[in-house]
Amino acid sequence: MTDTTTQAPLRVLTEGTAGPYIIVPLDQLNEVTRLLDSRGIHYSVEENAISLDGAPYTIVINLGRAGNAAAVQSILDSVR
Amino acid sequence: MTLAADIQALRDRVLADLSVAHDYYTDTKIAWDIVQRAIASGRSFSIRNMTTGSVTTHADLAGRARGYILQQLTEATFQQFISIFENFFFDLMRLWLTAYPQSLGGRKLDFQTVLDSPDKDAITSLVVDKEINEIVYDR
Repeated sequence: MTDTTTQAPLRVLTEGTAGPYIIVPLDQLNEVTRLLDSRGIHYSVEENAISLDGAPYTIVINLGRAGNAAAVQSILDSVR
Repeated sequence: MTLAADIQALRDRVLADLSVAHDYYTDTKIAWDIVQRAIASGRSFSIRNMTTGSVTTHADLAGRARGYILQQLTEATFQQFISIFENFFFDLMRLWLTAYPQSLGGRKLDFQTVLDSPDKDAITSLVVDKEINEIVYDR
């Protein structure tokens, strides 16, 4: 799946110890969560969306400590 | 495990907890410092709360940052230190009283409690826990 604001592929990020996460444009949040729902992936969406220097708002989807980054990345990559 | 070894293990756990709390304080302060410097250098941002719909700008946050660091964060960290110390104190007391329960020799128990306990250690543990709970909740 492509980030609609940067045209770069959406990436599952893994730094830190709180589990993998995805930063998505706010406008794309529903599309991504629908995809995760359809594959039975557990996640939580952070409460705050942030816009830096006037760029579009982005929001973090947390996959949890037990989240499987590779599996979710594969799901994102399977969608154009 | 001997009493000395138990106390050393407790000490190590508490020191680790204190380090984590201190790291949290330091890291959070650094994060806020970075935010303040980013704002001072001209970066702007806007935060939309998806639950309440409220919007916070960099100007709002810059105004709150110093208070967050100097007051809320410091107070919360201090409270966490106190909480860790309290846990240490009562855990130490539990270890000590379990090893030397004679000072609780005057405490009374229902005979049914004695009958329900598998052994003397279980009874001692029960009395020690009851004693500590009374101290904790009487504070």
